Amino acid sequence: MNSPRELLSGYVEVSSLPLVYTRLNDAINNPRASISDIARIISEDAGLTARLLRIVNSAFYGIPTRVESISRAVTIIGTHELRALALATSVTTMFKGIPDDLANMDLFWRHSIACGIAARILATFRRVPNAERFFIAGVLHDIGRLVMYIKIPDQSREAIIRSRDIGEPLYVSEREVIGFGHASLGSLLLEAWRFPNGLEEAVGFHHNPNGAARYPFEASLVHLADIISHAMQLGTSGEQFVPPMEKEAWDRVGLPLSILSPVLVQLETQFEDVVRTMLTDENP
Amino acid sequence: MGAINLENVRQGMVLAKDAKDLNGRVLLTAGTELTEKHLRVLKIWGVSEAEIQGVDQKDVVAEATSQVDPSSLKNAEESAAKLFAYADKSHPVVAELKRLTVQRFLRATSGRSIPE
Repeated sequence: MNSPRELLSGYVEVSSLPLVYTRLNDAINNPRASISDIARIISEDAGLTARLLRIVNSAFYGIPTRVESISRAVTIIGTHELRALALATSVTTMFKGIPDDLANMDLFWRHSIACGIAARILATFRRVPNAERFFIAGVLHDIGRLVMYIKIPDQSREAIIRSRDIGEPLYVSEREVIGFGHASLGSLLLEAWRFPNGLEEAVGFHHNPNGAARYPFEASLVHLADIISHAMQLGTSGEQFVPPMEKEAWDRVGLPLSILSPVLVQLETQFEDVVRTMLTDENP
Repeated sequence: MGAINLENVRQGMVLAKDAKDLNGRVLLTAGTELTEKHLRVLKIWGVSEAEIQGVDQKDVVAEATSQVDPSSLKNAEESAAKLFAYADKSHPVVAELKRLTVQRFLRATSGRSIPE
């Protein structure tokens, strides 16, 4: 049986992030880099530029005037938010060669994006600063599953079949068949990518936020966003059930019950538009 | 009594308690008869519920479900029950999410698009 770390160390294609993201990160963390430096790094990647401009002009932001350039986008939504979007759009193109019977990639990313949008909406209602980090955490929450599908397709298939046959949540079947779940594998990948610890825990504990040692709030928020996306059946990650909710997670996030209905409405409004901008490559 | 979801609040209803935003700031005081403009104010400030004199969320839900064709309601509830097989339905949050899911299924079957 593989350990999750062994699985990742032999997977060079994803063990580092796309160069453009690393350069972007360096520039944002460098106090002497200017907005135009950051805009230039993005503009050198035409595909990324087009995708970012489409997202900025989508229902996700609802900006009344059209944003035509990356430097304008940076001034409106800020460098951190733009970095989050750049990362989210690059990750969706990184995983190649997943067998069709394990996952439909389009549906997989639709579920991931739904979870990202839901997490960002919940964070916004809660008035949490830097809500974009929750969008990223949501988009990446199931990423461990993609690593499993590529590195251990046979065991993954066995887990999927077991979950369907006996009607058990897939994340439970993974632990039974493979020995660990997609959440912990995902958090190890984010660690390898040198992501902030909050994100790592949000992804790693999205099925059991009570287990998060340092960032239970982040993990709880993604936990709820995942449950909401499953209930709404926007895309699918291979899981056929709404995952069980840890009741402490709801208390920790601290929103009124009545918020659910407007959250669902907002998610539905933004969803198709964001999916279109993130998953298609043609120009606007 | 108790709060009802803002989507079910109509003009002409009377607030039973002060309506506050998420930071606890009072937007409208108890006893206000709501106008279209008031509803807009509540929406703009992100208020998601209000306590209304003589109306209860249970009544609102019961009234909404009474208008639905029983066989489509049964189908929608069965699909939702499968989806929520592992969720703890006794928790109010899960119960509300399941209720909203049933509504979604009903909209999908009565509307144009039927998801697979």
